[in-house]
Amino acid sequence: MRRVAAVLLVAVALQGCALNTVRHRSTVSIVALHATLAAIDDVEMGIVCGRAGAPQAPLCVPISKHRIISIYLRDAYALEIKAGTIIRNLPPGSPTPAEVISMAVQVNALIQEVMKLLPNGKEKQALVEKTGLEVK
Amino acid sequence: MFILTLTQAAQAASLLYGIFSSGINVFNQIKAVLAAAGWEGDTTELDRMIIDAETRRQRRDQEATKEV
Repeated sequence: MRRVAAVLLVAVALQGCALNTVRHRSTVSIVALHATLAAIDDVEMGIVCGRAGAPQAPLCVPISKHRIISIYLRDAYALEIKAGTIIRNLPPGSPTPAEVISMAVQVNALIQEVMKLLPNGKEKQALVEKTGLEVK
Repeated sequence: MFILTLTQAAQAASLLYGIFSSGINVFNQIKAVLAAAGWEGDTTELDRMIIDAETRRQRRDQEATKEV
């Protein structure tokens, strides 16, 4: 009986994994993308010129660049919310819709733009190491 | 030689049916629990992400227009 139960459990677990794999992969990807975006957001917010704890120029982000970065990040979050909502409404096992992939590509492009605007200080270096981002 | 009486055969059949049907029930229950866990787990993660993204989106919207 125990052996039968063990075999059943493994079979069910595998079936469960197979059912959830595709949707689960989309979830993991979008959540990981959000974690990267949030890390960049937090770092940039801490190095805006003139704010408490920010480094001195040229290692801080001037307010003009901060505004541009904020627009990029705002747009990236809006895309993430749309993508996350689409994934949330997918039944388990559904493939990642093309529009979600397209949104993820757009978020990545915005991340690249933000990274280009960050000054080359230790904060940016730590960010690159933490997120594994390649700045093109 | 081992010969089952009619009563013994009936008991054996009943026992096998019990094991088989309880196995099916357990199978269905475990399947339901795993499916629910997979679905709920993903949904919770997505909800958390969406809420955080919305909070950050609003903050960045303010930052984009803030004077200092």
